[in-house]
Amino acid sequence: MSRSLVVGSFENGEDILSAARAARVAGLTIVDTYTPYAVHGLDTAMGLAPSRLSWVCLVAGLTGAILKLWFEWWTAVVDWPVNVGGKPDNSLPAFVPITFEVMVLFAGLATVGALFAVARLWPGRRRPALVPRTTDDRFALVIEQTSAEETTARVRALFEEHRAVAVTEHVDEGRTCGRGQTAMKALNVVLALALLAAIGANAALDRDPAVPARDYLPEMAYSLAAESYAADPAFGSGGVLQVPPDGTIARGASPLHYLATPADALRAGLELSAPPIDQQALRRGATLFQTFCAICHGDTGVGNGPVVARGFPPPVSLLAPHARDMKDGQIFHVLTYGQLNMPPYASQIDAVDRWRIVAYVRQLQGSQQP
Amino acid sequence: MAEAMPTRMRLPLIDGDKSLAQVTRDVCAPLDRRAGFPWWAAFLLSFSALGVGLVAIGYQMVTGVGVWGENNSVGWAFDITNFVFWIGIGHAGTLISAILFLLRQRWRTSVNRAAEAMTLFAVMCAGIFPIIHVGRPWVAYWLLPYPNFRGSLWINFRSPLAWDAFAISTYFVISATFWYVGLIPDLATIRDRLAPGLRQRIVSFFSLGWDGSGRTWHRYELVYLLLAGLGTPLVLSVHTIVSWDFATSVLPGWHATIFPPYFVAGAIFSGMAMVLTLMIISRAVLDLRDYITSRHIDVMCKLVIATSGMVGLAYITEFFTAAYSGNTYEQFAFLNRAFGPFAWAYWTMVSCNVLIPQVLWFRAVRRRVSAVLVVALLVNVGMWFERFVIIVTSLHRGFLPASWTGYAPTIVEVATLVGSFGLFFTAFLLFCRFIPVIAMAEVKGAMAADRHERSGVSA
Amino acid sequence: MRILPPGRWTAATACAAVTGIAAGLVWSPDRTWAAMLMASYGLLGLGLGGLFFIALNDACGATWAVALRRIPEAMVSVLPFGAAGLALVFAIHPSIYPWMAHAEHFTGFKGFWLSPGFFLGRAAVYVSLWLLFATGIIRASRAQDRSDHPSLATRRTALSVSFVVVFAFSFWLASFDWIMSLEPHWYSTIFGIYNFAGLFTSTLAVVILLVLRLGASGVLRGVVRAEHLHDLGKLLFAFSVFWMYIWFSQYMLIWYSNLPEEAVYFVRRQTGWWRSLFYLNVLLNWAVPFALLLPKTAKLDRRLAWAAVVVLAGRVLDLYLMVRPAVVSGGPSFGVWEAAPFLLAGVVFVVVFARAFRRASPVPLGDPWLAESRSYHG
Repeated sequence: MSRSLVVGSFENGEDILSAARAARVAGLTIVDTYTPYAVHGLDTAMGLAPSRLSWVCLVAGLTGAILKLWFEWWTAVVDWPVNVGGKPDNSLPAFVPITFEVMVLFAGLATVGALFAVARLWPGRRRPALVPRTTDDRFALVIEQTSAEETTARVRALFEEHRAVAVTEHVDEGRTCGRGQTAMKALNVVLALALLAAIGANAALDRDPAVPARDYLPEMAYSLAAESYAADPAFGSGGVLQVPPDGTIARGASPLHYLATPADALRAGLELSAPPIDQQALRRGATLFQTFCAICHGDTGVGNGPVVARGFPPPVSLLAPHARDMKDGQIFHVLTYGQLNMPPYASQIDAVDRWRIVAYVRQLQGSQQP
Repeated sequence: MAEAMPTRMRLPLIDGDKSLAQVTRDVCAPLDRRAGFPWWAAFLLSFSALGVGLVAIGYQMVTGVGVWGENNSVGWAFDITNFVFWIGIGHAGTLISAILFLLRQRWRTSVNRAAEAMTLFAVMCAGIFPIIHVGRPWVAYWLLPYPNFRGSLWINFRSPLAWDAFAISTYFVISATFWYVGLIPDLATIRDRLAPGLRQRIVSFFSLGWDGSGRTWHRYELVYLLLAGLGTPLVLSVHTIVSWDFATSVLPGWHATIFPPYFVAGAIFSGMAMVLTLMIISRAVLDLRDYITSRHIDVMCKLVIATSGMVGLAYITEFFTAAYSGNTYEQFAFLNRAFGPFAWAYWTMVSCNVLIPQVLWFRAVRRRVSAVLVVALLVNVGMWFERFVIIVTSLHRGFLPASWTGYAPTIVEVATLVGSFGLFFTAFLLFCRFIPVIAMAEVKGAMAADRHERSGVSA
Repeated sequence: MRILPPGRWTAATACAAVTGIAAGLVWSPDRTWAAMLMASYGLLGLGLGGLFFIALNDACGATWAVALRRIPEAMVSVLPFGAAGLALVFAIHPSIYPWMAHAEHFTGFKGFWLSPGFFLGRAAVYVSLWLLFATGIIRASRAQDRSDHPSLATRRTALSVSFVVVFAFSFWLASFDWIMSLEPHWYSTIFGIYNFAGLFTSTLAVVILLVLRLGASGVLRGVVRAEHLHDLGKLLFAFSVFWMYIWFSQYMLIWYSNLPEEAVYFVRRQTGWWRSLFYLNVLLNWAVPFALLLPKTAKLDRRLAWAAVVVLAGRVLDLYLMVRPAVVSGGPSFGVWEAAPFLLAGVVFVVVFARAFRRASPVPLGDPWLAESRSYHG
């Protein structure tokens, strides 16, 4: 189908706007306009109906939001509920952010996609311009001659009335396709098919989850250091973890060679002597006493601590003559290995601090009469 | 009297009373000529910085993130600082392209293309850091929910880090779309100017056969408006979600309800400073002073000072609320910020973000482009330190005094930061060479509307 | 010009409201004082919001709303009446604030900040600052009607920019003082912004209703254009979304972190019948106006007025939710004791607005941007 077109070129937006308005008043058929920028009001002058693309935006946005909200709920509540930080499975406030993002993503992409589809814009599309420079500084108004009465002269006069700089006539032969454009289309089809084939192949290929995947850049997945509990034939024991040789002590530790018996306590009293204690150490001793000892022995050491008040057998008063007579080393032994109901404290209080407690106990005894 | 005044009061948008063809010529001129010495010098510099970054990234990928200075207490430091910094930079682009479009600020047309490009590059730079930090970057796609062989174990949608992954990728995709949609008419303009050849064919491919049809423009304008309407809440959501990475915790200094608007204001603040930096340089180098006029700089300066005020108010609110709360931990966290081991970082942040920008109240300073450039650079420094202060000072003095530590970046971390700047500037320089820095079609439309408005107001 | 209903109706309503309040103070003082606080704070917010609307437009150099400026200007006149209502509460019933009832409760900075004298002094400073700026800005605007001296426009801009800065600080602190300290152990850094969002959204709703009323039948016929309403509608839409954003940010962060000292605020507002009001708040302030105003054409027909009315109802509910659970224990109730103070605030608003609006010319005749605003085409 061919149609004859009359094309007027204008130098500015106001001229084409008034020309388009006049053409509509005159009852002419406006095929299209070509302008370097969106001339404000030209769409109404051309009589274009409001675009329905905002519906695409709304529907796509709602679809995205609903799908995503459902998906978050389904994964977190139905498919694999996992307790994370004590949050409920259905944590609606925490689902809102991603729902919003996906809504925007769907709405934005769908709207632009719809624009490309309805405006027939695609990569490599080429369309020869009826009038040159319409993407630079020219404005073209294209009128179709629908009947014989609409003589070219009449259209021409209308154009010139609105300061058209050139009026040309064209015959539109319908859709034409150049060689380059055909090649481009073919390329698009090939690319699309290749993409589809790749997706299809990925879905169709049978993959065995038992076969380990290929590692690349494996350094961070596998530690260079040996795993503690792994087997290792290089050692006699057959494992990485070794038993320390006899007599090994921890770094900084000074071993005590006593048993948890009253006899060894007496021996310790003779063999061990307290290191010198200053005021600061004594304060530390007081703090430790409050923390560890006062619970049974009471703040003053008479044996009335809080647990005693609840029925625990009371310890002997630290102020009793028997306790006053004990040597420093003997008290240290009791702290370290325990005695009667008292558990050992070696694992909770280190040796230096135990001596400080001893010093504080001595101070308690000195400050109070039996 | 009132009828005549506006013509005198409104200054033109663009200097020099350009014709449409002149706009095309001026904007395309830098693309047509060969790159000069300044461009090559800048390009080589940023490309070497990018190279440094690539080496560093390669090294830490092969060795592991143990080469960073992070420790058990300060588990986030340089990387997340850089991430938030770059994401923030991006926000000004969307502000200019979407929010100012909705507010019908016509001056935006001169800067929106470059600012949006800046957004894209900044988001790319930002992406580097969390992707490395996940430990095995080559499986970073595990952040996305897809049916998998791990029993179809889904990602944890309640985690702010998962929100982040969605927010950043959506932001990138939508910003890129927005940018490209705005670019199509200009690509068509270039296509029609170029002589046949490879370059013409490439441009032609991407111009989608745009011919400036009135029917297409009609739809295009609606789509642009819709994208702006979507982009505005999107940009707010992105930095909001970034702020939630911190604020959903219970850590003093991180858990504050003001974080969302505070981070968004800070992001726009830093981004505006970066736009100013780039625009001041490129208007001089690309000879676009008639398009990016001193009035454009003036308006952007005012935005900088407005957002600086918001950021300052947020600092004060946090400090005040810590005192008001009566919560020892909150109070300690903020005193430690201001007077602890990282006090130098805190005061750098306060001076660069709140004190120094106050000079922009003076018109004389806003008129002096070099002074504005200095302020903009300092704001960028200050905003980098803001994120550093928030992240590191809160972590290095946690609830357990036993795990208090310090933090210092290693050379690898610094090199990665340098590399991200290299990527940013390399991309921006390439953009200046191959894509029109100013949105020609939009400027032409804005000029027409501007002229119409100034030619006299009909009641 | 008809802004007011006939005088006897106004007087009758005012009498009824005052009687209701008086009865309430006798029979149910706690509920009535709580409602007095909400109503006064809301009324003050409308005056302050009007001033902020003018100042923001001036500070940005926005000209579209110049033709309508006398409406927010007249709204500012209600500011002292709102302040007077608050003063009444502070003076007669200070024990509405638990820390006033037993002042020794807090030590350190908090004890100093929440001490009765300092509290009242601060309130006086905020209100005087606002009144100072209100007088300055409005006087400069009215002076323009008589003189076209360019210094008046410069003065207005300078005052407006300063007011925006002062407002940011003072209103933030005022919202902490007057509302947040009702539950003195609870704190949220975003609270000031949340209060601002409510204040400005309700201000826009009132401006829209007044523009519609005065544009349809009153003196602004022919001045108000569809474009003005369209833009006001978009602003209402945007700020309603902003309110929701701030609301969600506060709620979600407190819900997520689940710290007992913070979460108690929402637990109290989600127990029993409070729960339904809690969700209704989001519906009224965001969901309904959002859905109503989403279509482009909605800003030009009666959906705009409906959205404004819904937002106003939402504002009342929002204030109710902020104040009431803190002051009166038990479930929600809304009866004469609550309605009377709000009714009085409404009557005061209408009367004061009408008188103030009549005092100056209905459009700022001397503003150099008036012509541009009147021919504004979007």
